[in-house]
Amino acid sequence: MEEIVVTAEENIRSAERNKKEKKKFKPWSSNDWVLFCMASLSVVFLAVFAYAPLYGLVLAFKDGDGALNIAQAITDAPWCGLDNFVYFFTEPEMANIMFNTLGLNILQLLINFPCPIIFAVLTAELLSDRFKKFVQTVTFFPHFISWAVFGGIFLILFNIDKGLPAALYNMGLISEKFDILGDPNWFWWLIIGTSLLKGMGWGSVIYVAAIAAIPQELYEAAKMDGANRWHKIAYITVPSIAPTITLFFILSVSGLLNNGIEHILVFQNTLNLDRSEVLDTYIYTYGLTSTNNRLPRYSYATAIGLIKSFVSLFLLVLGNAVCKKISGKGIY
Amino acid sequence: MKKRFCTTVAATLVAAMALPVFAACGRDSGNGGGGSGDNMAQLTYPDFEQTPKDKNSWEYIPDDNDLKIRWYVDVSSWPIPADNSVLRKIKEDTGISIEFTTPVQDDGQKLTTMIAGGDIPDIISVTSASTQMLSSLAQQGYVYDINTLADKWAPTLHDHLPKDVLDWWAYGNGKTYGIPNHYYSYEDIPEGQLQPNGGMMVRKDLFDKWQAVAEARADGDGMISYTSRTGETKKVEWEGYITTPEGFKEAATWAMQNHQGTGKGQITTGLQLGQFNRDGNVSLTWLSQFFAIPFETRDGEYLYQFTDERYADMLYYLNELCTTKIGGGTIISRGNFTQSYDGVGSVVAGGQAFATLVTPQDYQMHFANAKDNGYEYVSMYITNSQGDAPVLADIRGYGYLFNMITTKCSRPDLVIKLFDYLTSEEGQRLICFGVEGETWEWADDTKKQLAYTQDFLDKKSDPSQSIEGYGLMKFDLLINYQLYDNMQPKTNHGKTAAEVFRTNLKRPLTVYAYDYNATHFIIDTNDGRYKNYANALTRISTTIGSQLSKILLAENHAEAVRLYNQTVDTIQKRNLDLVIEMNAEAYKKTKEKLGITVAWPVYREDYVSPLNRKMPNGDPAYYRNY
Repeated sequence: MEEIVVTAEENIRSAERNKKEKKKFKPWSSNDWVLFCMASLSVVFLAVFAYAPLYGLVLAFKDGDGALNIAQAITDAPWCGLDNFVYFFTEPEMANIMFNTLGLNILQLLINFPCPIIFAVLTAELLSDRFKKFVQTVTFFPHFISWAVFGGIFLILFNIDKGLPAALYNMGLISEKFDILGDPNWFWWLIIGTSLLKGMGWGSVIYVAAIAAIPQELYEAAKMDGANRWHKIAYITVPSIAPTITLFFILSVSGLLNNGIEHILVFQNTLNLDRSEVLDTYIYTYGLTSTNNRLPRYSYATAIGLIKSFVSLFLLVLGNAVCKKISGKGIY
Repeated sequence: MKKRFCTTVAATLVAAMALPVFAACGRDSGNGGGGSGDNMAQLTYPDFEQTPKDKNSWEYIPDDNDLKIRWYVDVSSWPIPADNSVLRKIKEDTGISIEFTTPVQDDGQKLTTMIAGGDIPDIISVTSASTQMLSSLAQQGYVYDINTLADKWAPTLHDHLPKDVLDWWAYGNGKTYGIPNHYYSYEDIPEGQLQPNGGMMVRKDLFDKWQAVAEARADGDGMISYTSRTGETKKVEWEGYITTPEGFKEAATWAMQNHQGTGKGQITTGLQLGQFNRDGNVSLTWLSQFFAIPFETRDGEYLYQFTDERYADMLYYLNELCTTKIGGGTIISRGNFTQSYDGVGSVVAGGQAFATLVTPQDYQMHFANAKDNGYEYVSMYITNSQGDAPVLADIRGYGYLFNMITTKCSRPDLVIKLFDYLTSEEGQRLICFGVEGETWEWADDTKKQLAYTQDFLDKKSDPSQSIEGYGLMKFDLLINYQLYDNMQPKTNHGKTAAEVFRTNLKRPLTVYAYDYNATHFIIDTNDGRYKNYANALTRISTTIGSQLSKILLAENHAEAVRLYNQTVDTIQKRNLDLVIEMNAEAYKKTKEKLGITVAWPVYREDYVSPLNRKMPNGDPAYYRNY
């Protein structure tokens, strides 16, 4: 009890100190040129790497497809108005591509977003520290393997001729071999499942950290009040990490048109294209790569990128507004 | 005042940091910029001293020359040669050392990124089939034309590089912007000696067993009766029954019924195709040649194959193979559709396919591995249901890569001399046979034939010793294969069994190989219709690429027909007419350039069908023991 009183007194003293310091604080003056130069570096960084490249967006309104040099296309290519956007919206496959992009992302938002939170909460409840560390290490590990290797394991595992389907068939456990890699209906679940396996442990890090920052006194007080584990989770843990959840939820919503191209490309094949072709793979394939039959289409890729940016911005604002409305918390 | 100072400092900082970024974007338009009258960029050439023609151009390279150049090969699987005697000799003779680079994957992204970033190596080797990329590089001024470079700094190149090779690659302005990696001169090629590019291979042990089954079914005249896919009753020699579509299907079914499994010696597929990708599958190209589907009409006009009924019938045949269930699998395994290059290779290397329709040279190491594992593959052919002889594209000496000297090259005068050196007989001997005295010597004073040194042969025959360091055939970027063929020892002089096997992979099919040069037409990217053409081509190839798998895997024939018709309707809506129109124009121009009116071999007046059903593996007379 004495300790608590001391802590309260210290808090009061600390607050008074802060008040005094605030009074002492002076806004920057033009004399603080050292500070100014230091700060300006970050501004310059943003200006150069975030704002200056925005000039390249003009390419979306130019006919630069087929040009081999982007910079040359930006300056020399003739204007073409909204042709690139019209091509995008009239692309016969676009409805399907948008369906896949949004469908896969919404499913991931519903499944892959809460899983790391649940996992973090459950891990926090583990009593044995040694076991907790073991679980965390095992679940973190896949994050450090590249998608080419991690995905390759599943490509071998699910190989219809030599993998699990063949083994089960040969053992007489199934009457017909299943084709997870080639059946488009399996594709989304394949992506969601492998994403979870690879990313759940790593994705839970931030939540584990947030849970670790919750004062233990709250749990002790709750215990004294007769709260069980479930009560502690529902009334202490989850509300305490709610701001973190909100932040990541809003960011996830704004990224609804992004799919993580390297993950999709590992599992994409001509059989599952109906469900595996998403906006990112489409831009990569038709905007940035070349084959015997086509050259890169930088203008077209830029136009789609611009559309994506606008939609993401809209979703960010929308997600923030919805979160504020529901929980009173947002990122701005 | 101070505020203004700070503002100025900030603005300067921003500008200073932004400049390199803009510079890094590389606003290079190749060289020269601006178009010339012939739609090609007007190039400017550096002002180096012109080289006379009184001796080989590389002999003018100063002895103290020490130039390091970058050579980018746009093929991920191209093996970068380690330091070896050949590269050292090149450095010794020309003063030029070469640093090779390749991309991680074959999607063209590294090349376009290098161009976009202005970081273009001295020499780039792009796949010859990327015709749009090749012409764009030339038209946008990223590569020098070989003719001008040779005229200025390597006049002897014109003597060393066959003229017909240069002329074949020339654009409308008469200039050629690179040299293919493998080339022949028409003059050097013995008539009918070129192997086909694609090929069909079958596992010899299973083939032999099947032949015994077929022989047992034959009547007294040695013939087998069968009902063709069109419902007619036909007869064919039992030896060649497997070469009919119906016979092959039956043989593959038999193989799957009796040898399917994942154990040693067992097969997982009756027919292994190459890797499926968005642009389709090269195996279909090979099969269309076996099925003798023409690329031009009887009138000599360009024929778009996909919409031709014979091509459709080929797809329906493949659909039969994909849907004929035997045990837990099908003749063409569903797994084939999801396999990468390595996946296909592992099936071949493991001998897990009864037959293959992959490009044999692309998988020659896998075939060699299969042989080492006890599963030898031998060539075979298949015909269409009508019994027309296969019409296979020969492996014409125009290479799979095209080597270009970029306008970013710091010393094009020296690099063209390097090309001259490498294309000369001296250079070719070096590339193909190594350093004189080290790996080979002249067989006699006529200096026409050479022989390997005993030291080299001893090392080669000793498994504990490596001959990699000699560098023979490691530098395969400029090889006149016919010259090599003509010069090499005509006895089994040090050739290992594996080398002889690889040499002969598809050689027996030579009898069915023909000139397909007319199909290598080039579309003018400066044509006013080009943008629409490119868009249409992309949409059409995407459609076909995505629908192909569906057609082949359709549950039944009716569904396959429906999907095929639907695909044809779709590509027609996606401006197929324009694609055909421009292809036809380019095709016509190419034929004019070649000086021919009939390109499809069967339509030529002197055509004689070489079909021999008694020799289902092709003509063994073409086998070589060296």
